[in-house]
Amino acid sequence: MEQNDQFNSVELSTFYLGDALCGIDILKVQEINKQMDCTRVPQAPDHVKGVLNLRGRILTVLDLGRKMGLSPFEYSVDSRNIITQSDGELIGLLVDRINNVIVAETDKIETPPSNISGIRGEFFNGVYKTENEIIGILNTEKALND
Amino acid sequence: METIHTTETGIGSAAPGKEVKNSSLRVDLNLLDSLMALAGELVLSRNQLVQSVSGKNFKAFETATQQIDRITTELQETIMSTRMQSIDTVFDTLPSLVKELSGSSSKSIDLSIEGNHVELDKTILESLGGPLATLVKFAVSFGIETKKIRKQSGKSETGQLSVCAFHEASQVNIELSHDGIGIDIEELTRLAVLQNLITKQQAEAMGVKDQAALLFTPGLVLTAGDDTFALDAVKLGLDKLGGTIEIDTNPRAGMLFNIKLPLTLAIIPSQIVSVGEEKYAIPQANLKELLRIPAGEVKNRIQTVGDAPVVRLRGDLLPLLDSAAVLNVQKTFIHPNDRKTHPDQRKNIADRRSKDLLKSDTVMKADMGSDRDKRKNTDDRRCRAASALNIAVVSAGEFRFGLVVSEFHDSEEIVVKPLGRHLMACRGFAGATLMGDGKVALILDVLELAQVADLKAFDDLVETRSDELEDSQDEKNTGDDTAILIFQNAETERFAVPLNLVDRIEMVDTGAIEEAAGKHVIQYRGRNLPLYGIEQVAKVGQRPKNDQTAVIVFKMDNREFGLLATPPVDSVETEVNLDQKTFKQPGIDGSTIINGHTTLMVNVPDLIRTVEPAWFDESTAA
Repeated sequence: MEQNDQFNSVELSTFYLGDALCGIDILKVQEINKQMDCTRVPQAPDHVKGVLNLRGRILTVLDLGRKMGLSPFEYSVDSRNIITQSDGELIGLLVDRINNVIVAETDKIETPPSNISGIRGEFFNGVYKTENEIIGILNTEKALND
Repeated sequence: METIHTTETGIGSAAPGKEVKNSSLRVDLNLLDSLMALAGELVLSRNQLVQSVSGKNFKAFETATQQIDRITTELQETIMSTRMQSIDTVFDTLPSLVKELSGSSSKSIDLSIEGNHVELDKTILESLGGPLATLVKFAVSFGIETKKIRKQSGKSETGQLSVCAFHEASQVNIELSHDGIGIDIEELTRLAVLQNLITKQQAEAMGVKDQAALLFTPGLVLTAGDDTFALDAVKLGLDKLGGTIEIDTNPRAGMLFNIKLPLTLAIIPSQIVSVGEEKYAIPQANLKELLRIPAGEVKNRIQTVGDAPVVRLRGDLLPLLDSAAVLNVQKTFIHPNDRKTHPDQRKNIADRRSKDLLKSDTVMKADMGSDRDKRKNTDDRRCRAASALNIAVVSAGEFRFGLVVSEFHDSEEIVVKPLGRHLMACRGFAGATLMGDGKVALILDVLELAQVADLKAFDDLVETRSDELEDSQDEKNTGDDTAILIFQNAETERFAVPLNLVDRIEMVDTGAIEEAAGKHVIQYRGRNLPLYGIEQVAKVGQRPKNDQTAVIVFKMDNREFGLLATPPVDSVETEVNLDQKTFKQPGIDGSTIINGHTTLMVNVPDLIRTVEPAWFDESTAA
């Protein structure tokens, strides 16, 4: 049963947005840090927190929860900024708390329900159930589109 | 990282897929050697720095810092120069292009190229090819005549086409000229009207320069024999590079295109300003001057035209744009007492005592009775240095305006970085840059800001309104349009007085009006201001008893007096066709129709003469 073959399993970097446990493919994550001091961009949409200097590169920081219909991001000691690679540019995602890296077996990923802890199902590619948790696998295209 | 997203700039075959083209770069070996040397120095300095920090040697630390500072600057310059390429990569393609074009027609063309050595940033060069090729094609097809025609018109058979590049004031100029036939500007304007791109009225209102620029209007199609041309892409392509193009044309003797381009787009000198709490960069290329209006002068220098604030700058009226309002940023100021940043409550740039140019000498004041305003009326409210206005005078394209910012900082060379795709919809920014403290600052795109604020309309407003203003002041009542003040007495009746007679308008509490010796007066600035109602003289309705009454103050023969009126009091510019029959009576000259309402024109001198005959006896006796 233990199959950790790279072809039929995917490593998920998981994190909490409010009560929802979400995961994204770890290969899309460049790093996770605590840099959250953004420069606000006037006229930007509500879910765009601002721009950030990451070692000389300027990246857009998104309030991921807000984008997906949750309440605005609030800073806490657990908050983290997940830097992801998307369409050739770096994008920072503000999350409330990070969780473990979880290996998900591809054939056990199910289609998402219409709602996971307040986030609409359309933002997920699927759900993966561990012994005591349900992880929503983010549809990054949908969640990170402008 | 690429700083410019080159998009399709040329038309047709002139610019095939430039985005992928030329992704490698040829670099001079000497340049590479010096880069290597600099890298070596950098490593050495790094070692020194690390040692000085671990040994807590401050002196060594200082030396290392200085060295790194110097090396960084040199490194930056050298790396930048690797991106600089001579313009001949673009110019080299021109002879074959001209040969190809002239070969297919009975034209003989002599192409001369100058300024091959002029260097430009690679990104600019790449996007320059398309527009330039289009212009050359246009010149050959449209400008230079066939041998036969040239001979007939007394020119040499061979047409001269010259392209020349040169440096001028940190810009690169490219001039393309020929001695064929130029564009006939009148013909061009007619064509633009014919193709429904502009209206006839617009065309007539344009200056020659604007008319010539019609050549680049999107949608304009020129035909020369079998060839059709649309040159809008040329302008668009150059605009993206921060360049400009001008035309000089002579229908018989030829035409000249002058293109001005910045040397590089990656590093630009900028003025750093702050708006609210954030810092922004304004490119020096757009910046004309910095203006600081001391707090005490705000009410004299800043005026309004309608709702729009303007500043008087050496006799010109310059429209003002409040950057905090355009960017929708909370304004802040540093409180002089506790040195902390507080939100600024001020909504308007102009002081409430600033003159409104539309209202000539009238100063509108509301709620004079309330306590809050009594405080505000004390004379030097804006006396603190902190409430001075900082204005960056900028220009971009046809726009010239003042950008009101919270504070000026240093001028810095900044590295332009693009904004991410989520921020594409935000208008007014040319990109972002990193400041010395590691924070990100946005770069303001002056042209877009002007567009966001709809400054075009605003600009026209200033022009026309200041014209009107001059009219109303110079010609008084002789012009077609007269500035008049409309008000009511009884709420159903409308009255008007010429605006130039009005000194100012006050709102007073009705309770503050006193009665003495059969006259109504109000205490005002320590004096008694006599008040009159129209009903005292003319047979008109009574004023309703409201808490507040408007008082229109007139000054005649050194006497001040007020005319009681019922708000709203409004000023309009309109043609007055006076009907002197229907309503003519003492104090009333007659009637006119304004905005669909019969309005009685009050003859103020006549009115006063009727109620206070004694004044006039005195003044004539004296």
